[in-house]
Amino acid sequence: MMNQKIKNIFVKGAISPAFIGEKIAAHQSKTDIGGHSIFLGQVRADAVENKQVVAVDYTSYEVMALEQMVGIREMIIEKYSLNCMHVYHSLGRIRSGEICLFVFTSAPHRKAAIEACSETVERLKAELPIWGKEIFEDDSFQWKINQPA
Amino acid sequence: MAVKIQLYGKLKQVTGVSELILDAEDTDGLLKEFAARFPLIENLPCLIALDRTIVQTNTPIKAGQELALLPPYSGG
Repeated sequence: MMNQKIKNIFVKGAISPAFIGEKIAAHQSKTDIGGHSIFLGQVRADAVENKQVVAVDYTSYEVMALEQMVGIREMIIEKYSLNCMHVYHSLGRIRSGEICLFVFTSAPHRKAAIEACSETVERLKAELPIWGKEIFEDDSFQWKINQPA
Repeated sequence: MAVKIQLYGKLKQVTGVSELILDAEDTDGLLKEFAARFPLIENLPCLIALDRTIVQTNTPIKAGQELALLPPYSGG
């Protein structure tokens, strides 16, 4: 396995706007950065057969997900010459309208930051062993299926 | 050989357990055993992770390896 330190990406519960703000503020001292790109995933209140999704309950094979994320992180930081990358994914029950994914990439110039952010989101959705169970208002549920984009 | 496998997502929910012991020598044998034990979920797509890496082709299982059955991912 790679010798880079394994960073925890998992957050219990929703990702708060205040947390996101703090992470942005923490980069003000890194003055070689010229552009940040941020993706925020939000739980959508899909309607399925007249029932509305009120929350998504996320679980993961955490050890494997964190190992896979090390590889994705190394590859994308190198490919886009990023200053840094931060990824946070919620676990547990996240209500509709709340944030469940926060991807934050920073680079000297905008294009690298934007493309790196987009590629990271696509890769983590495809490669990290995380599962979302959509909970309806009557407590019934269905397992989420990721859309291609 | 008795091997312990972890179950996740829908597989955990449908079987009602987070891990179980099956008798298998390789990953194909493991899938066959699993389907025999839980015929209802035979048609559920799933991947096998061996030591936290997905295996695409039949692979022998060695003592002490970490095994998991994973339904399609839906994070993010």
